[in-house]
Amino acid sequence: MKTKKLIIPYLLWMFVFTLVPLILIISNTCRDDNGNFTLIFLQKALNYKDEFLYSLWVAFLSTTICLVLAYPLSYIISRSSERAQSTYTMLIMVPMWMNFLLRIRAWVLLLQTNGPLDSFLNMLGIDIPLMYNTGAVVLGMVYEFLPFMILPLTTVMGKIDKSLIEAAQDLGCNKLHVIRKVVFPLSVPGIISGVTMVFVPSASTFLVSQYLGGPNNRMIGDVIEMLYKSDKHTASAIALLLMIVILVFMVVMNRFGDEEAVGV
Amino acid sequence: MKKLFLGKKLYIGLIFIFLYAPIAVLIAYSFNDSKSSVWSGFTFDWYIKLFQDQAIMTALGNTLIVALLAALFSTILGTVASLGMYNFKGAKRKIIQTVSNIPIINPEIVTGMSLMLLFVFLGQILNFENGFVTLLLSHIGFCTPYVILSVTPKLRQMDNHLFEAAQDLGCTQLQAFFQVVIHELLPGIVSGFLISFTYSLDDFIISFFTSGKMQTLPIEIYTMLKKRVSPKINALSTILFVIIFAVLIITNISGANKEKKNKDVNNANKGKKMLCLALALIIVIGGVVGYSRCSNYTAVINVFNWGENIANGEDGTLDVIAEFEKKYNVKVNYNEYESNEEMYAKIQNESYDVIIPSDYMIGKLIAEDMLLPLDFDNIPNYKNIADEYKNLPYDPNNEYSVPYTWGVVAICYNEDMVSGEVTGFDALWNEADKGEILMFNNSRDALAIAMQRLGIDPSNPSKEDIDKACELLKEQKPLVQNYVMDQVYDLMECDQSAIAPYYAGDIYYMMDNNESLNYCLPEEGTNFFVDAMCVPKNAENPELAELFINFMLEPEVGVSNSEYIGYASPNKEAVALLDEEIRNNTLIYPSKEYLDKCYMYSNTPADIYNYMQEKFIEASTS
Repeated sequence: MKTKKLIIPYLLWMFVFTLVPLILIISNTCRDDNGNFTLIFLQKALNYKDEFLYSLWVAFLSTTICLVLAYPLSYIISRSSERAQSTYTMLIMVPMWMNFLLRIRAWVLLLQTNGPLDSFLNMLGIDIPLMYNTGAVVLGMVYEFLPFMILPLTTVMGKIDKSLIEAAQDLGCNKLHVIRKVVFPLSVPGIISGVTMVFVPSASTFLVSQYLGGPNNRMIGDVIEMLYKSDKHTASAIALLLMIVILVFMVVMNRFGDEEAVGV
Repeated sequence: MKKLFLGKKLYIGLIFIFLYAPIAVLIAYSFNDSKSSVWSGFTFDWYIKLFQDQAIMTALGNTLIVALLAALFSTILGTVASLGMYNFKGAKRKIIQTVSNIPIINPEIVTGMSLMLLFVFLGQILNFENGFVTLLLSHIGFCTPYVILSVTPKLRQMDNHLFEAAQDLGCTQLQAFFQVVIHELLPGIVSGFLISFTYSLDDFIISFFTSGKMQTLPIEIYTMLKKRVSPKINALSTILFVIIFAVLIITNISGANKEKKNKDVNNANKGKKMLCLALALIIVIGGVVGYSRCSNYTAVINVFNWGENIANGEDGTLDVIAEFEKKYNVKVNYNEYESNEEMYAKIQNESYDVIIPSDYMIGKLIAEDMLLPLDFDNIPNYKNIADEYKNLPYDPNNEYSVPYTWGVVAICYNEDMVSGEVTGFDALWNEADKGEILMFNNSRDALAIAMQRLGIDPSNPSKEDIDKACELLKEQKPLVQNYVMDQVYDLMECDQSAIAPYYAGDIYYMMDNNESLNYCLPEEGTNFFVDAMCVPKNAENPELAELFINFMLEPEVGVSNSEYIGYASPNKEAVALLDEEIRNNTLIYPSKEYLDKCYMYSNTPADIYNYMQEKFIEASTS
């Protein structure tokens, strides 16, 4: 296929809408209001390293849980009939069409002291704090981004040739073996997409921790939200650092993915 | 084997319960006969009010149209780009891919901010203002990478020989492309479209920066945050939910019929059908909304106000905007914001005719020469304003502003939960209430309370004052349940917290929903604030703006606004019309003696304000 040229419109697009704004961020980070070069804003941004690390930790936990929850479901969906597949996909998407803020607020009502979940657990004799901790924040993130793990996984798994699985079974693989030796390696591109689509937003989003977390659960997105209105420079600097950290993460992910692909 | 099957069902069931439990809550509260989270009876009222609320309906129409177009364009752009990218290998490909992913990894706030800078820059050259086009472009911008992410894996899985085989079998290149390649990629393309649609539908931050005067639903909801989100939004979500489900069931039934007739239903059909249905749905809704909007007004004025800060016809109030439009045949383009700082950022690049900032912000705008002196000959109703609210420190000669509402910061507490007597702000540092104390999640108000305890005047603090106040906040932090803004409503009304400082008018509403709640005006005095109407220098219609301000000062309008917003009115004619119970309520209308003990914020220099923000974040995070 001679399709290299097809990239041209997108290259132009990326230049105007991605690279130019990026340069504007960098220029906001390194120059003060009078246009003089300075590193003070980057230095200020480093004051928030605790929030940085905490956000990465939450993103890591959320991504792991999403992957564990989504993987079997995606497999089940991808093995079901076409009609069931599209039904499942829609059922997974529909909650996301409700406003993000309303859904997070609904979780607050579900989790609060003497709320439905708390009362239920108390009845069973379990008394654990459901809100204002990392657990609640991670729950919010998993809830928010789980569909973005399920969908790419399902898409990729759906494409795995059924005869490959049958062949493996014919050659004496049991169910677990089939998944480990056939399904898993072939689903790596989906895992990479999914992990990226969950990890990145859960590291940088805001409001979730403001609603479900407590005073010790402030995330870097919330810091940017508090700062950007008055201090664009520091906000840009934090954003730039966050971007670099996440870029490194993605490069590592992609390398891992490529090696896996070669392995297959 | 049977056991395993049961386990599988249980697992799928649990995941769907997890996904749908909050939706159920959300739907349930659309039938709640109260704005609060306390259940107080079943009602359909919100559904009726929803359809009368022009602002929400317009925002809904905008949101759907933008989401649909953004999803459509980004799907095309993204699919074409994935095909192009596929043939690049190695480093080149990696670079393209990385750049392409930048909108995903960038925090939305930054993307929004940078795009606004870009559009303002381009706007000056090409002479356009932010609006529908810029909003759409920015949505396409952040949706396209998701399309690429979902199409690329499909492309990698596709057998390269298929394309060649099709050509060998007599297809032209174009035929082969559409019948083979697109067919193979379709599941990826459809899921890319759906993801784009979803993201666009729910995006707030980027839209806020790039939408200009276009109001979308998430913006509408976010601006309600300082007050509280209206159950009308729940009602709207419920309706959307029901429609989507209906569509889902219909597609499934028709799909099932077809499957019987023709075993080989292909993905292409399914995808096309889904698209058609979505399209039809959105055109219908868009048509309804568009119809409701079309009328012939002689002029338009742009009003920029706090969220939930004007009477809208609910609870027997006047629908102020509709009344104004009817009376003067002038269309009001009404936009909302959530904080003074957000408003300030927006008016740098966009022109509004009337804005309603708070005291200190007015001082800042005057100092920066951003306001137009008002012609009080055009505002005869200014005589209705009581003298106490004229010539206030932020506008000493009263040239630029007309007061709209006022109030004080007070303390709300739960009589059954709080320990000891509450007389002043030191109750917020009471060890006995550890874990049940709420504090402002906003540097200015939180630091002011700490400064008052230290005997420092919070109206114009120095850096040292801020440092001292932050030390006190750090002492308080272990006792604090959370730093909150609008969440205070739910937390206090549902007995989750014992004590919280908040704005008087809002506390009055909380007390309405929970009988255990009471209030306290801190004995040491407190912050006294005024929101006032101003006309920015770049207003397009200053005369209409004055007409609007004058209308807002009509006694009937003033009383409606005051009843709806819950804050005190500076309009003495309006106050005279208020219920005696509210007029004599010392929380909303504290005595003159008490007000003499209060202070106002003054215009804080930018570097001090930035310092406040930094220090507050530091003090309120471990």
